[in-house]
Amino acid sequence: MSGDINETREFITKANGLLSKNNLELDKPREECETALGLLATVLSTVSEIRWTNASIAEKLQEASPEVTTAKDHLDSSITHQRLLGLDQLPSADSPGHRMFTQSSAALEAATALQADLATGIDIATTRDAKAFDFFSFALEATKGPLETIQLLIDNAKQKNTDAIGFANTYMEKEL
Amino acid sequence: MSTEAFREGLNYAAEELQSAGDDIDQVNVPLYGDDGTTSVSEKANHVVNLALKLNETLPQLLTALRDTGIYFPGITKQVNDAHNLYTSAGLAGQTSESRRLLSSVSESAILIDGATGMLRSALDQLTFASGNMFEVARKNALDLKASIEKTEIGTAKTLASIEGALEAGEELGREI
Repeated sequence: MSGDINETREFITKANGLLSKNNLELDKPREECETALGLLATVLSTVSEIRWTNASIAEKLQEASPEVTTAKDHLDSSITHQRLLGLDQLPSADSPGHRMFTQSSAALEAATALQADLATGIDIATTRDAKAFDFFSFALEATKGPLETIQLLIDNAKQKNTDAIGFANTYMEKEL
Repeated sequence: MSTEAFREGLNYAAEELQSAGDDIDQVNVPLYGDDGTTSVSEKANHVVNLALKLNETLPQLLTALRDTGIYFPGITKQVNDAHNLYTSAGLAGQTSESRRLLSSVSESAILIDGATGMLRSALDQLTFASGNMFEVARKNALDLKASIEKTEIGTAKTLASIEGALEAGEELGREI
């Protein structure tokens, strides 16, 4: 009988040892979760900063956009006047009238391209990035909750292990 | 019709473009969380750097999540081994103390199992979202930078052509 008791005590002590070790090992995934949560916060903050900066860029590009449109309108109207004066029909390429028409047309062409580039910039800084980051931000937020829950589950598991060790010790004292 | 009308139009166009260029290049805009000021193109560079930072931090986050999961199988095995040892010690259902003990160990295993499942799902979701995100964030940032550079070049090019047209216009005015 005493042999049985010794064997029982040995099993229980071994099991207690395993659970104590388990509690120490549970600290490792908990720490990794902590690291992941820190990195997650950095990623979320970087995403926020990109979104904020893009919004600020888009705002400035949007402010510039009507000014470019107005400039283009003025160029259009100037070129219409130049055509009415027949500057576009001047035979000599060296004449100031012809040169003026050519340069004005080049300005109109450049302003048209500028308008398109501005529109592209606004589109990237608003729609394109928003589409990408909305989905990503959702995934990041959806990761944050489970990570915090995992930490909670680990803490509870440790508590359960500690409780089991306590029960086992009480059992050994009382029954063995 | 005098040359004044279309020269006036060109002058207006130049003024509007200058103002648009100021919005893009010279306007003082605070950076995120900073009172410092910067131009739109500097901001675009900043977005590129943030996208690079995102690309560095995201893999670290995924690694931390994967590392969290590495520990769980060993931890689960340890708890199961402890449960088996307690059972071998003949504790199953003997007393209320031993029943509570075994139930506590089982609950610990269930909690760790829950944490493992939750982590797997979070990792899957983030891997799916971020796999696409690396490239999108980087490409959008570079595209935005390129678009702003083109805008700056376009503004300068348009202004230079208007200036050329105005000079030719002045010459034409003197001839007339």
